[in-house]
Amino acid sequence: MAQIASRRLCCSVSLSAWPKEISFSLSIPSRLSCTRLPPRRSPLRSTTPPPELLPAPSTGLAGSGSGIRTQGPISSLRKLKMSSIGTGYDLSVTTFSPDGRVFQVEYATKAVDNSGTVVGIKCKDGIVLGVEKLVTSKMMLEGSNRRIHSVHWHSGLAVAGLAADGRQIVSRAKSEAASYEKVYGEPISVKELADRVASYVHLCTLYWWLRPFGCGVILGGYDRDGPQLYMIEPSGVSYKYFGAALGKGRQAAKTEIEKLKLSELTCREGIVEVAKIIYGVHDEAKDKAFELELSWICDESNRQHQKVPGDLLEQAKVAAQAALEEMDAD
Amino acid sequence: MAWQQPMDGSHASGSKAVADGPGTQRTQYPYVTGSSIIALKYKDGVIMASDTGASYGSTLRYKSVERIKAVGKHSLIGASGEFSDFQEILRYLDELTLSDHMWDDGNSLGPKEVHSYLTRVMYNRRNKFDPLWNSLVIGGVKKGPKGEEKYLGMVNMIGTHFEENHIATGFGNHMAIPILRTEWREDMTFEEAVKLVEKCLLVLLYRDRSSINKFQIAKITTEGATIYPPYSLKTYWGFAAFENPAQGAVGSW
Repeated sequence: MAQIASRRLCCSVSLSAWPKEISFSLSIPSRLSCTRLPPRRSPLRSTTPPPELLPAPSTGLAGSGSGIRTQGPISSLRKLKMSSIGTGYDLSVTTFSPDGRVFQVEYATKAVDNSGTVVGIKCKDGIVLGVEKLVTSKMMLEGSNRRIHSVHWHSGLAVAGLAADGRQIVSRAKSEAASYEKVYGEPISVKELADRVASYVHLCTLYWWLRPFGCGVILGGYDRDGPQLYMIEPSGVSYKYFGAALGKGRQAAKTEIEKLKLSELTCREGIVEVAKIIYGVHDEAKDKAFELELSWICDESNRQHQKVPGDLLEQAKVAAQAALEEMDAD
Repeated sequence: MAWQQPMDGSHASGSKAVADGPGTQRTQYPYVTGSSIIALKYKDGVIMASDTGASYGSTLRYKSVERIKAVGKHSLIGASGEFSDFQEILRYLDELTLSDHMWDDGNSLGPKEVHSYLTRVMYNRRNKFDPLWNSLVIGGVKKGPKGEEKYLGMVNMIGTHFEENHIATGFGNHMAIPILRTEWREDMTFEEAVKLVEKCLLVLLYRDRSSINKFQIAKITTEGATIYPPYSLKTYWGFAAFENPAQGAVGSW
């Protein structure tokens, strides 16, 4: 971790920059004393920190830098319902809120929660990844802005959230996989790849000059231990799953995945199930058009990560639509 | 053969490792080398053959190495010359086919593209005076605008490259090409192609001291690549010329 950090990030920052940063973080309390009135409604649950945790009025430590000065007395701040906005605790990823949260990471999670649904399942013979890709323009060419990417022969990554952030993760995953194979002469295991990608994602929550990734990813792969599925969130946590979902419809999708008998399901059947779930959780009222993106890794794909072949994709779509109509008829 | 001589043209033995400036040294001559590759187009695709030997200088040091490999879905590559350089080239090609796979856009690199890539690599290295000491043969079949297109080409350590209906590298360039020129046809069946290739291999086995009697044949068609397990050819060493090889040679001794 430290090695990655120093290689990727610190080399461009000279050590002499450190004192500056420290003074920056010390300047935060003074900023806190400047209340912006009226406070905007917080997107998160508001919290009122106990008075003793509220910062003292400006100590002059950063006096030179404080262009904005206090407008109201400090007592008015205490009367306010404390939200993340306006307190200053949500400005940097390196500052905890008094009750121990890192708001920037939570905001990043929001970006993921607003995205089209992404589903991954581990079947008995492989992995299926599916994405509800919301189409923002009718003029967009079908198949563009892909959200499922291969990162090596045997593994693929599906992105929920900011697609451009996702590509950054994908390119990191690709280079990690390539460098592992160059060094050790064998393909990277899915676990190791997930760990490395998670470290990279987590790294972006550790420095004030970075912002966390606005995307979560589902990583599927096939190695000597068989098919495996991992999900990595903007905070950098990564867990292994039988089935995972991200994005708008994740709750509904998870309930649907739980109903599946994953230990008996083949990938052939799995792609239909994933298609059904994606079609099922799609909110016609809010989002008009979407494109179903499906990929798999199984014996049929030579244990390589690939888009699901066109004919199978069409069949899955037809089955999903039929299931949906049947549900509507009931 | 170019790859059997030191690059400075001298034939002096012993170490010729010359450092040109601090920290750099270039390949002056090959160490472990493979001998000829024979390849030709036939009715359904391309057939390629070689022996499985690799010599350390003139010692037949390794007797079971594969010098023909599949590249991607549509190509075969065969190599004579420095074996470690060939392994390095295979690593380059792995990288190439991996990135091709990751695009997952329905396109794939065919033999033409692989050949073109290798010509660039080989010529580039030669211009750095640090060549990859090989003669490479690339064969393959891929659907193109004119239907299935067979492809057979070669590139060598100085970057010379061309396409041909039949190719032989190393000693084969001297011994097998005349046979191929007289007997090759466009519409050969696989069986006929195997026979022709075996004829070339046998001639090389008799006349090329660095060849061994363990051969591998590979083919590439629209179905994909097949590399067959090694086998031996029947030999007959009772020819008069073999029994007394110096008979016809007039000399003072």
